[in-house]
Amino acid sequence: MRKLVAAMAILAVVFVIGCQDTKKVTELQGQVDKLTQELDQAKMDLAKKSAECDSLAKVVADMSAKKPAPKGSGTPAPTPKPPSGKPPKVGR
Amino acid sequence: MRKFFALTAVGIFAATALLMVGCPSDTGDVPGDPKVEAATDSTVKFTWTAPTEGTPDKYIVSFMETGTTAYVPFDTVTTTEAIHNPAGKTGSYKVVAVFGSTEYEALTMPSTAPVANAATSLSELNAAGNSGYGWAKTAGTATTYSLTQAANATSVDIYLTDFATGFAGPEYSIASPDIARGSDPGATGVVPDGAWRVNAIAKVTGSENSPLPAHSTTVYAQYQEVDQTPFLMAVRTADGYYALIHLDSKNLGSGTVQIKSWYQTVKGLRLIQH
Repeated sequence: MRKLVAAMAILAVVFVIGCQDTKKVTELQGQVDKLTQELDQAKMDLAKKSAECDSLAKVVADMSAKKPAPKGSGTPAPTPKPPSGKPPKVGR
Repeated sequence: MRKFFALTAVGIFAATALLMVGCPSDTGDVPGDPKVEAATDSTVKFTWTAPTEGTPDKYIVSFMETGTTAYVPFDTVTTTEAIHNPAGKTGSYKVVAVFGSTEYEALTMPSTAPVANAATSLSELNAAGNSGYGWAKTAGTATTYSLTQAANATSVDIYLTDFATGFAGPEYSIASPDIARGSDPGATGVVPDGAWRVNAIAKVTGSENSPLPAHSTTVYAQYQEVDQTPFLMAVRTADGYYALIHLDSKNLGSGTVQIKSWYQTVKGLRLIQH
């Protein structure tokens, strides 16, 4: 009889501990879900801001193209990209 | 009869005295050691020394443009130098010392006309033949050199390269020899260490008789591509001399171009009319 009570007690302890772990897992899973939702929201915000930035850059480029060049200064010539093996050209 | 002897004696005495003393107005000599140098990069300072005998009333200095046959006076001075703006032209300079009504012309006429060097073949760095080209500093004569010998380092002013191993190009460049070591893949194991000259090269877009581009780090660089043939480039050597090179007959099969040049022996002067 004593052995049976002892066994039941051990089972009860194991059951309680197991239930607590399950509860903890559930809580952690909830936190993960919440953080995932926040991450998704942040990604959406980033995409939105990037689109706004691109739009603004396009406006700036259009305005720069329409702006007349200052007197006495020409458009700087683009620096030609040297092919492989050729060193960058340096004034001397 | 006695009168005749007396007159003859007086005549002989007068002639002897004239020979010994000379007429005062005949005292004079030629100006010495006429030289030209650069006053600026496009104007000329013409100098000479005073005659060894007498002091001239003035000097008349004249200029004969290259390709013409007559001297044209451009100034009259009492000092022994004159500054001339030849408006982009080269030519010879003459000085005449004036003593009263007598003129003494200097025996030599220095010139700013560049030394012409006939066309010769120049090879790409990895092709057979010499790839280096340089001018004798004072004589202005050009010679081709091999870049494989360190002894040629102080003689080479430019070399031909495609900045790659082999000579297939298709783009060739004229480069200052100092960049071969370390900056040209085609020079690895070919060009030895040495005191290779540090020169500057610019494209010439105008006439080959126009003054070369003024030295500026925005115009001159350590190399220039041979975009087309014929092609003109200006070279400014590390010691301040200017030269014009003309490239033609690019041959990718043999890895060669034909090069001819004009070298200005007046240091710092970028006039190149020829």
